[in-house]
Amino acid sequence: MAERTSAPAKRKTARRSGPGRVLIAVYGVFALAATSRAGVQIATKFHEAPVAYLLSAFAAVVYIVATVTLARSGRTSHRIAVTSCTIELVGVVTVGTYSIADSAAFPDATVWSSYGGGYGFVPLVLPVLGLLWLRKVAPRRNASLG
Amino acid sequence: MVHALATVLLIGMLVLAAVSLLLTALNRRVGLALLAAAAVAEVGLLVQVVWAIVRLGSGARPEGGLAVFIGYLAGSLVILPIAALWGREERTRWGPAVVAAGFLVMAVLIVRMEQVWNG
Repeated sequence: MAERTSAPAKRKTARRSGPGRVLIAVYGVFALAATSRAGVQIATKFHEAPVAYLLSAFAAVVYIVATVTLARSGRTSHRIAVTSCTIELVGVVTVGTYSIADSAAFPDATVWSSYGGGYGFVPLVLPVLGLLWLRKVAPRRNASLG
Repeated sequence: MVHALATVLLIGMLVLAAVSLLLTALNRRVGLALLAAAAVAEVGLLVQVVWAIVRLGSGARPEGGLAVFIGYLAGSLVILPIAALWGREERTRWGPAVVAAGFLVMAVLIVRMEQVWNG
């Protein structure tokens, strides 16, 4: 059905090779989904739940930044990717907790509500995997960063 | 939507996702057979899109909102080709994992399309 794997991925493009490529693919899907969702929500019914929809838009931007910086090489991209993943993790935990504690504040769901439960908890798992991966492929002189 | 077609597509996507993950576990890369399977799945999705367009043309409307539904329709055609090409490019065991992600996303999308259509 398929051929055997050949040589290991080259060092230079390490961040987007192997598991990194799967990560970027999933991030890309979330960037697309969150952007579309926020776009539709803000365009059609912004007044119903402005806080939730602005949060959706913010999450969308973070996913886009994470996708791009994970896919790019270089130390700056690495640093921004780490920051994005961290913001995501903080965001999903904060919004997740808040949405459960005070559901009236969130009349409509965001991607981070209930710890991303509406998305199979992928939003909660993704930043953790992202940070682990970034730590693994961290530029050498920046080894203390992750 | 045609419930039977959506069900077949959903099961197909889940099976193909499982097969892709198996290939990753077996340390294989994306081969022609997997690409062919993805192409067949894409044809099935195309049939679903055409059917939905015909239904929309005859006045049927998705209960959950037209804009959202059309967004899902368009998305349902682009995800698999991108995942397949990207998985093919990654010449390691992680290629099939990328394709598996594509199949899983499609499975979710098919369920969501059914939900939006039926309200």
